[in-house]
Amino acid sequence: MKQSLKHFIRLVNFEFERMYKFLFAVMGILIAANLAGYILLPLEYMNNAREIMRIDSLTTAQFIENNDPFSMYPVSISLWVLGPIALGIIGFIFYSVFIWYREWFGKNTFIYRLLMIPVSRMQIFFAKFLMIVIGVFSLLALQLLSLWIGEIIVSNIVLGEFYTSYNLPQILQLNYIFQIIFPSIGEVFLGSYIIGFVAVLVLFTVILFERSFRIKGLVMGIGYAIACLFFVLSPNLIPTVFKNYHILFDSELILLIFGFSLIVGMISILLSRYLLKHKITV
Amino acid sequence: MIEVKDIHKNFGRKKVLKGVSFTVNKGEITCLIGINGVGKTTILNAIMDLTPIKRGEILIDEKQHSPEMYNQITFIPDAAIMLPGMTIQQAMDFMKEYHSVWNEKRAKDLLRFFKLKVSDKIQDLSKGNVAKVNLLMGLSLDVDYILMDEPFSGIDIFTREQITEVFSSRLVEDRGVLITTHEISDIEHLIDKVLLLDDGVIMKEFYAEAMRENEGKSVVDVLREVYEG
Amino acid sequence: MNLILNKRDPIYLQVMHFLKKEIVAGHLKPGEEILSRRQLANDLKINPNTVQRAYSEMEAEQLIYTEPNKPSKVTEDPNVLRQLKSEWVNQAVKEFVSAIQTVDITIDEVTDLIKTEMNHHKNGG
Repeated sequence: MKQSLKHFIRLVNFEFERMYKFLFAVMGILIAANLAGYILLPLEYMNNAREIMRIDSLTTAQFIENNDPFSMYPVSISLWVLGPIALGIIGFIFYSVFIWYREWFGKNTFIYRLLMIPVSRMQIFFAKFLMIVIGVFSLLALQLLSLWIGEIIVSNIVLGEFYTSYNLPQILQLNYIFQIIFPSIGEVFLGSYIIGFVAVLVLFTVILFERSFRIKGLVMGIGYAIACLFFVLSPNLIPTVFKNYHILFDSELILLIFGFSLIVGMISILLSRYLLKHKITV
Repeated sequence: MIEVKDIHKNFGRKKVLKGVSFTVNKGEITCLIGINGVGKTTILNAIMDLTPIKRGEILIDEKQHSPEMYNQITFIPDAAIMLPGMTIQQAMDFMKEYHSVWNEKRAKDLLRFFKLKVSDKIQDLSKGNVAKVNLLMGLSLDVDYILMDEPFSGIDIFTREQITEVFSSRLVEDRGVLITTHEISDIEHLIDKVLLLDDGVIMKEFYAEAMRENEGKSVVDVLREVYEG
Repeated sequence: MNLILNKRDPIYLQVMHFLKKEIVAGHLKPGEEILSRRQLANDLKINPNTVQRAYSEMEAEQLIYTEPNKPSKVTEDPNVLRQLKSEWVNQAVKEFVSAIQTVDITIDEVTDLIKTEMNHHKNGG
């Protein structure tokens, strides 16, 4: 048992060594874009404010009465912040596919070596999965840190009278995207990330279907993914089916969806295990 | 002993293996010869549990496939399978990390024997040096069985000599060795058992030395009979 | 190593033949260590199992002997060596005679030819 844990940590470390360039690149883009936003947007606001006050001969108080003060809100919905988040999401979907296919289609067929490691092949599976989890959460943590720093930078550029200050928890409630990726309620946070990572597990399973049965497998895999999606969303149909729109509270519905996601996750792991053990081909 | 029992395999509709059975014994070099087309590599992959079979069974020392078997049996492919960006040293470290049967001393011996530089990257190696690195990775594991895919194909004459030397001096000992080839004349003197694979079945199975002693025929003679007669 | 193997004779016999020739010719002296199985297999690029078989057969014929954990050595038993030599010559003579059997030649002529040839070899021909 101890030996296999050691092997697992090595595999994770090995995967990390192969991922860090990608991860650091995305992180670099995130930081650079965010910083640009934190500096350019408030400067633009202040220039704009001075211009208006000069032309209309307004006092600061008069200006503030008629115009919104600056805050982290415009920053949080700017492309400087949302762009890198979109890039990160797309990047990690892409990476989830790439993390498998590169073993077969790299310059050398590394999958031979990988499958011949004397450990359970699920360790390889979980190492790759954990890598996605680690990548996503490091990016999230970085985004949080960046917003915290952003607030400091912005508040130092915009003069106090023009500025509405928010603390970090408030910033995270500012826009819809943030509410999804940084839910403030623990259960919701857990729930939305469970759904996200179950989606990754399903994607992995689709890939393993394809790698086991090629074209036929791809069709099977896509069928499986659609079935999973239907299953997870099926609680939404309960009111319609029972013609009773009060049968479930919203919170119960969400709980059901989470529960079904967990079931899909388990099934995906079991299917992947079967495919890796009995059907995978180099 | 590796027991391959009546294995079948299709590629799409094409039947590649139609009931192949044989054994590989310890202390012997068994050579799987097939002049035409596919099947040989597939058999090795199937033994290594790298591809599923449609029917049949493969046992290694009477046991079914399991992750632990990779400390008992190893596969030396005919192309590079380590990450291209790895140096030979990193590739060796990788093997050492995961295989409890890695024999560092033998690895060092083979490095010297093959005159390989540990700082060379896998992607920069010539075909001959790739073969040497693969051989080094495989032979440095203290395993009972070694499978080799076309160890001599596309390899220059000097490397060929070195590999032959490894075969005759270091390879066998008390291991069981299975090699595939489509070109036998170079290694006729090296092998014990010959398996002729054609059209998805083992057409003939014999011991080379017994064939010479009892019938006065070389391996190539027998091959000619089977393919031309 | 001065042995070119042919592909149709059993290799262990070719190896035995080679070693016997070395002993008869005195290149391998009585009591001298012979190459290890692995080394010989290596030099000839053949399977060590085959060398093992050749050595076992020669041990059975008492031409070589092996003490535990030591390299095999050529026998020091003069009787065995004498017998090997006579067998070797007998075999050669047999082959020679069968080769010239069909030729119309007298035994004296053959003897003369052999004498000439042997002198030629002695004088380093």
